[in-house]
Amino acid sequence: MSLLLLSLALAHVVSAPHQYKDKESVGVDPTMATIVVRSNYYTGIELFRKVEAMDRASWDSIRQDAYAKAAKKYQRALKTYETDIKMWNSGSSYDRQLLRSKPVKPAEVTLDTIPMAPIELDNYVGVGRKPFVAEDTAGMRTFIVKVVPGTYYLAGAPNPMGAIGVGTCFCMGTVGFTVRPGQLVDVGTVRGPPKDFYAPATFTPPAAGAAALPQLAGRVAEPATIFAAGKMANFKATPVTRLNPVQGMLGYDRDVPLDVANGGQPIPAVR
Amino acid sequence: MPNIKFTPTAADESDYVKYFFFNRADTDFATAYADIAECDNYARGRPAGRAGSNAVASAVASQFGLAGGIIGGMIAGAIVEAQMASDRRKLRRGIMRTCMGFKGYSAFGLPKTLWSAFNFEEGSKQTEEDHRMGFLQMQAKIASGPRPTLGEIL
Repeated sequence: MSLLLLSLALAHVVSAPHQYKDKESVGVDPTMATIVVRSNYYTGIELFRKVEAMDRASWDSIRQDAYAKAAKKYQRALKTYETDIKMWNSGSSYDRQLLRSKPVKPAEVTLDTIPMAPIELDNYVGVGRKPFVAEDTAGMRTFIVKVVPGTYYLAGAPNPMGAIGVGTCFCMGTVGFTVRPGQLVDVGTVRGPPKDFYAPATFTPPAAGAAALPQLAGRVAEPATIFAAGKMANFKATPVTRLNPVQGMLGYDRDVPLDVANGGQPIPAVR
Repeated sequence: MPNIKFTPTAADESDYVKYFFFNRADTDFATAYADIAECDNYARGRPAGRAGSNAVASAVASQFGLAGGIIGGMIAGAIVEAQMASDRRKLRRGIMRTCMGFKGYSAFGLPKTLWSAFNFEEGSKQTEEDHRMGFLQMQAKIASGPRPTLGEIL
């Protein structure tokens, strides 16, 4: 059990993204994936990795472990309470003076009372405004990030300091892509309004050869296969918005995201 | 049905940005309620957002605390909390306007006194679930009712 927990904890550490600096060359890591992404949001860009069965198993395991510890603590507190309440009820003024006040029964511990953040919060990959590998005069920054392989969604702009009203969530319509181990992909460009986290952002899909960056040392980032994605929950309680329609890919029927590439079907929510 | 009839004053109009409701033509109550509830969920977010905000408040408050002692820290903490409550109210308004706007609803302003009868603000504390549901139902009733004749926010 503890070995499993250790390996799961390590998996969490390993999953932390690495954001390359402009003078850093991008090596090849066959177990990880590398993405090139551009954003003009002053806080950077945020990705959300789809919660896979393995992630859920990891989270459940940590939760069960926390529950087991809390349950043991609860049992000890309950025993103390039972002893104390017996003393209190004996009516001895000496005992009552010792206890000072009537003992309170500890609240029962269940899996649901364990204070643990939703699993989804573990799967956000915040790409901060720095470091970046390039920036144009309009403030569009290019980021190279090493991430755990998987399916990702463009989730919005991060809120690094937790300030209320900063950052945004493309909760009401976005796009996603899948990246495999060892792969180097360009996932395109997000252009948001400079100071308005509620206004829709414009996504430009990657073009072949757009990511010819010196940091890649001759390697070519292939354009990722981008797909339209549905709504997401606002786990980080930031302002919400969505991507503007993307020609041939993402459309809307009022607020309902549509998969234009596949006949305009409504897209199920991201889970 | 809550009262939304009033004669606007200049003060009312300047507060439309804070006190508003929604309406959309050809919308039934069930649809309006589902729409408002969905946007309310976005506005509520998740505790993680609040935890982050509290961390910032604590950090700022502790800076004041170091400089000005315990009392200074408490005063700074209260000021920070008041600012945070104001920011949370603003965030909720922004999310509701954006979300309902994507759904095709128009927003209409009204005086705070009328607005308070079927709306709630969440600055320092959360609204209890049964009260929240009651307010959202009243909002849905108006959102699916006749189109208001004044106060549209463009």
